[in-house]
Amino acid sequence: MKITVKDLTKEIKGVRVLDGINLEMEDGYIYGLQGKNGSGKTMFMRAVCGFVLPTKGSITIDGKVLGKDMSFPESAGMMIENPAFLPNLTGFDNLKLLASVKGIIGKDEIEEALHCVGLEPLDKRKYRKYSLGMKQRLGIACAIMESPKLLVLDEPFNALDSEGERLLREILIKRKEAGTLIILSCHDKDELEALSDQIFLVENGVFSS
Amino acid sequence: MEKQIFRKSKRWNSLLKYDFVCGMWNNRYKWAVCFGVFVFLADLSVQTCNMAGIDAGYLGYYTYLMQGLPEYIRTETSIFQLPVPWLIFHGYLFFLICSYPVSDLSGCGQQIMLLSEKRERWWLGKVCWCVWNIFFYYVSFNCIMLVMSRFRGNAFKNTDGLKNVLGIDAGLVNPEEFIMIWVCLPVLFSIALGLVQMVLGILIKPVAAYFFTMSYLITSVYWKSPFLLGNFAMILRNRPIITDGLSSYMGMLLCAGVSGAAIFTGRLIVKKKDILEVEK
Repeated sequence: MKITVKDLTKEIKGVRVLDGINLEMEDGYIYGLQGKNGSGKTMFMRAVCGFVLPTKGSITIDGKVLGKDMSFPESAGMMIENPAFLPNLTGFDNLKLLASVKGIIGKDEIEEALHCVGLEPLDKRKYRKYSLGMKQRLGIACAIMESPKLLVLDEPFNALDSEGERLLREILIKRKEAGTLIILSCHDKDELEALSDQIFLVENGVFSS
Repeated sequence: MEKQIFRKSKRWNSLLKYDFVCGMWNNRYKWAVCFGVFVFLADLSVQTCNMAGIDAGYLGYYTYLMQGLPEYIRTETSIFQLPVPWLIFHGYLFFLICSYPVSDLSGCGQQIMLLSEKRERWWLGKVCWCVWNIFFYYVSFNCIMLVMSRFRGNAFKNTDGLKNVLGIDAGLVNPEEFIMIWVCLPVLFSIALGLVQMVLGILIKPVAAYFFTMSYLITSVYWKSPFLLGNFAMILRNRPIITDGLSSYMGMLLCAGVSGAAIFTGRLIVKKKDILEVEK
């Protein structure tokens, strides 16, 4: 997978939230985004996932323009801002419902994803009873369960305990080795530097490496 | 090719199942109150007919609720009135379906969109959700009306009930017209306005969309016009119930046309919309 961002600019209600971004990303790498709150990291992630359409410029994934040739990347997993699931279902049932949309994975892959993040597939608790850390873990499990080629994670280390952080590091390294393109944002500078192959500094919607 | 078709139909089934589960959960309290509203409206119809000495069955009670009002003609002494039970019935339906699509966009719906690979699929899922909710609303109401009329009135008096409630000879209405005016038009009208409300909810806000819908309903009561589709949902505004009534065939066409336009417009809006976090 190759992502090419050309002169990407996004304005919302007259405010320029992304400003002339030019970069390229390839699979098998982890790209870190670092910046203050409101700098444009999440907006960029939304743009790469297809949720936000550029005011100017383009995002091309494997030669196809997002928003024109396709609505969303063909194989993407994301966790952007607060993960949202159905409160009346268990974690497993939530993932099962979502996995049924594409229908490319089964029970085994869902269980494996839950194990990877330290959640128990047979846990009968409904999502509304989950702690913040558990919700975060389920969000990560949802993002990785279909083994996507593109993984976009916004502040995935938030609310995780040390065990959760260790598991997430393992997941990221394994996925990177498997050839996944990973885009990651994190407030912990040390964590980001340890994991990322390349870090982009984001300030007022401008990217610099 | 067969595998592709099978996968596509499975995906659609999953999308519909998702909207069924998520929509019901989001609206669980509204549906609980809804059955109370139905009991109230059904009882109101039955009691009002009984107290007025109108000999009516299930059909008569249903007609009493869905008749609306005759055309408002402004004179020195006329007072504009609202058909309150009719307004409650339709108003609650639109209240029931106004907020789910937008709240889904800021929640689990984003994952669904990403997984379904096309924004239009999410939108069509919502269209199907809206339509089946409306059908379920009408079917549920009629079941409760049947039960109420069985226990508190007379269940299955048909033609006499119509004559006594509307004051017309039931022989004036042929079976085709009856099905159109009593069954099809109210449902089609609800679908048309429900879809328009959904589009407006996504474009502006659900609350504003609901205000528009209620204003449109009230305006339909005030003016008899084929462009105010609420007229077709009032039995008393249709031919042959009244001689200068609106054509029910035209009503069907207009409702279908508005529904199609709403689906198409919604598709265009969803295709271009920025999906951000706080959309409620």
